[in-house]
Amino acid sequence: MTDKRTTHFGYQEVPVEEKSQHVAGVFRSVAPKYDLMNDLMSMGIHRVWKRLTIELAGVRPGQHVLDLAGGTGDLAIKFSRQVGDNGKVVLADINEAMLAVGRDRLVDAGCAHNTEVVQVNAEHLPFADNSFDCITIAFGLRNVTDQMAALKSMLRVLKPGGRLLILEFSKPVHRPLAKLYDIYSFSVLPRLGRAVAGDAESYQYLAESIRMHPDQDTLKNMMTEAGFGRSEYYNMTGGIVALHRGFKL
Amino acid sequence: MTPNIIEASLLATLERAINTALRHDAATQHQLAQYSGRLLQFELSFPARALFVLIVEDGVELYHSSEATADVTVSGSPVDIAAQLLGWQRAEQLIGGPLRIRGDQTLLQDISTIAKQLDLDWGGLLAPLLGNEIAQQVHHTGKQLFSWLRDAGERLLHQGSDYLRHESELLPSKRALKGFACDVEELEMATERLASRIAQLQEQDTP
Repeated sequence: MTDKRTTHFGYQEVPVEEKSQHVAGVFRSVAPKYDLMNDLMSMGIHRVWKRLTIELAGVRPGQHVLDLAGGTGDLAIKFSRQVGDNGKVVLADINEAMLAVGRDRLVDAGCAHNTEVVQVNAEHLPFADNSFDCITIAFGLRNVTDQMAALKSMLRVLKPGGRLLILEFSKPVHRPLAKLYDIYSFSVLPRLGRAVAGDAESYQYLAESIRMHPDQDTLKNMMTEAGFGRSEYYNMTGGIVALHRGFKL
Repeated sequence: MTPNIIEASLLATLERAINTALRHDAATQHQLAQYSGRLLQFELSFPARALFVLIVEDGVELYHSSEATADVTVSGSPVDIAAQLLGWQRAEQLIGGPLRIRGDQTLLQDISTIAKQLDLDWGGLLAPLLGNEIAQQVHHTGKQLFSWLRDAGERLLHQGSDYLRHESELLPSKRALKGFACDVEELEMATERLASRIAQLQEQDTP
């Protein structure tokens, strides 16, 4: 009898080595309408969450930033403008379809001069130790198969004093909001996905993967366990989203 | 800094409004783009907030905080800063307060000149919604309305200032205020001299 390790893909249990392929399939499907769907699903609030992430990142001119699971390049464009000509921003994602959209957007925004686009697996980052002043991963960590391995890999490539910011869906802190959020996630979201992107299953996965993702305190503890210092988190929109920050001390 | 989603939303809305306005005035947008990468910091006295304006290729980005050193920093009330940037005529002593400017003053002057030139194309903005003809009508009416509102606002401030200073004498004139400040300064110096004299006498009195 073979002992196959499994992990969750939404509410399904799948073999560990297959999760990344399933996630890749989801994002390949949604890539062309990813930004539009984000705007519709969050009613535009995802832009405000990302804006707060950028402010808390505290990036300075000349610094090196890694935007992991950067997808369509929302954060990378902003960072590119903040680090200026002497800085560098790496837009990284495991999914080639998302990266293609992101690369085009970076070029269109005039950010090609200080950005690089790299296809990577967050669990095994192909960068030298102590390479980046700041790493961000927005709405990406829950899709990573081995999150602890990814956190350790991020810590390795951060410079001492560098910071990691994780923007991710989390657990609502108020019960009535949680009920409403459940109704929205499992009734409205898949229908919206079918209507706009022609793909209800991917948005069903989105809702399920959010529920399977560690809550605020669990993720904070994982960061500490991975070696990050001064780990903290900020709830946004009643905890629907949380922004975690930790430093390499 | 603790994230405040309401403030961030307001800032995002303001940024969007400015950039939408710039998109409909290509000449101004092009002029502003020449300063791409420059950072302006505004320290507002009320509400006590900092506002960072990063000029980018296609407009501006607004932030509440930045780790970068601003090219120019302007401190003062929002009305005074807006008056400085947009060239409003202010009623002296009524709303006019001191503006502190540190850094590249030429940059501020250049940005102020560009901001004053902003000529919003309401027609272009509204054409997709209303159609060309109605949008052009709205454009002309809007321009007249804004011009009238601006004139009316300036007149109101001047006349309000005159009434408060000269007729009701609720506010002092600039000359009276300067005289009062001189008196306070003189009194302060006299008090200090007296305190020193008393201390000296006490020292002499001690065996």
